[in-house]
Amino acid sequence: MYVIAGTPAELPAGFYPKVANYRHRVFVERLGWQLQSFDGAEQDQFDHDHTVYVVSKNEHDEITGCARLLPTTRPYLLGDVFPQLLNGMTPPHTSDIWELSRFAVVDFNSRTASPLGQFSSPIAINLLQETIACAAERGAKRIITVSPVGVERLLKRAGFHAHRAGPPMIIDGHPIFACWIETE
Amino acid sequence: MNTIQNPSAIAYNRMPTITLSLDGYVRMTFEQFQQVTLSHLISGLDEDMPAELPQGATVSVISGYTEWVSDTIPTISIGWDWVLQASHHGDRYYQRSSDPRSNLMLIDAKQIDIGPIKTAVLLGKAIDDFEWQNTVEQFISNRYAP
Repeated sequence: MYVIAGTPAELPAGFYPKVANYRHRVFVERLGWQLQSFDGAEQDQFDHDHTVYVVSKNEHDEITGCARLLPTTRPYLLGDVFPQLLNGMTPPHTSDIWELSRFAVVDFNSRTASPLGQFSSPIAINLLQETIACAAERGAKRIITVSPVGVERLLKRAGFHAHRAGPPMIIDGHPIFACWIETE
Repeated sequence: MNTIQNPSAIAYNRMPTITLSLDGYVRMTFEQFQQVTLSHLISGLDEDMPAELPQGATVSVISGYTEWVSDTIPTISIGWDWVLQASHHGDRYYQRSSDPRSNLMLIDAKQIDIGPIKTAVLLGKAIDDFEWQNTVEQFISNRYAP
């Protein structure tokens, strides 16, 4: 496994559309999330020039996982769409807090690949570590993530100091929550 | 720690005013926490199973998660994993299989954090002392009923 990270301009030419297609396959086709998707590409208003993507690939050069990082100094998913997940706290807007969202690890070439079981694999732990390191390199001291609650298990397993920000919300029968991750 | 199985039930709140810290934690002593009423939010089966099992294979271990919330403001949120175990008599029972995960940081009498590890240990003991299994079993049965 190796990892590519950067804004759309920093990624290799033609790579971003592959990430958007991978997200479509995971979140829309496999998980059935009600997300805006067009022509096989899942993306929303938070995918822009300042968004940082962290993407894992296998030895066949195929995408096996992805994550999205957003600075909270600009509009971000939790602040704009899910502020209630912060348990009454005002959403942060500071350069040392970044948001992690759209975290997924699914190797479509593996017969045992399950998008619902994505939070238990070594690839998931590796990608999570790389993602948090990437955010730290860009100035993050803390990360806030909007994710399925399974991510919390992954964070604990990977040894991060993390704790939920408040109770989960139930969306389509599945609990999602906000979780704080310390990078230092 | 008390529990109610009906989330709409009104519980008498003997808690002092609690606040949300800037780091996102709710802080209180263990004694204060023991006065908190928790309600069941959701439980589910683990979905960390292969998408395709080999032909003839069956899942031998049934496991899942459960989420509970307090009736306080700000809300205390606690979740943990469980496995369905078989007793010597052939009965099945739910057993906690992970440390609790929460937004709670327990403090001592001097208002100092006891840390996430000790907090999880104490919360685990509190969970093991109350009857959550029937609520989870009933919810799981209804949610996954064929």
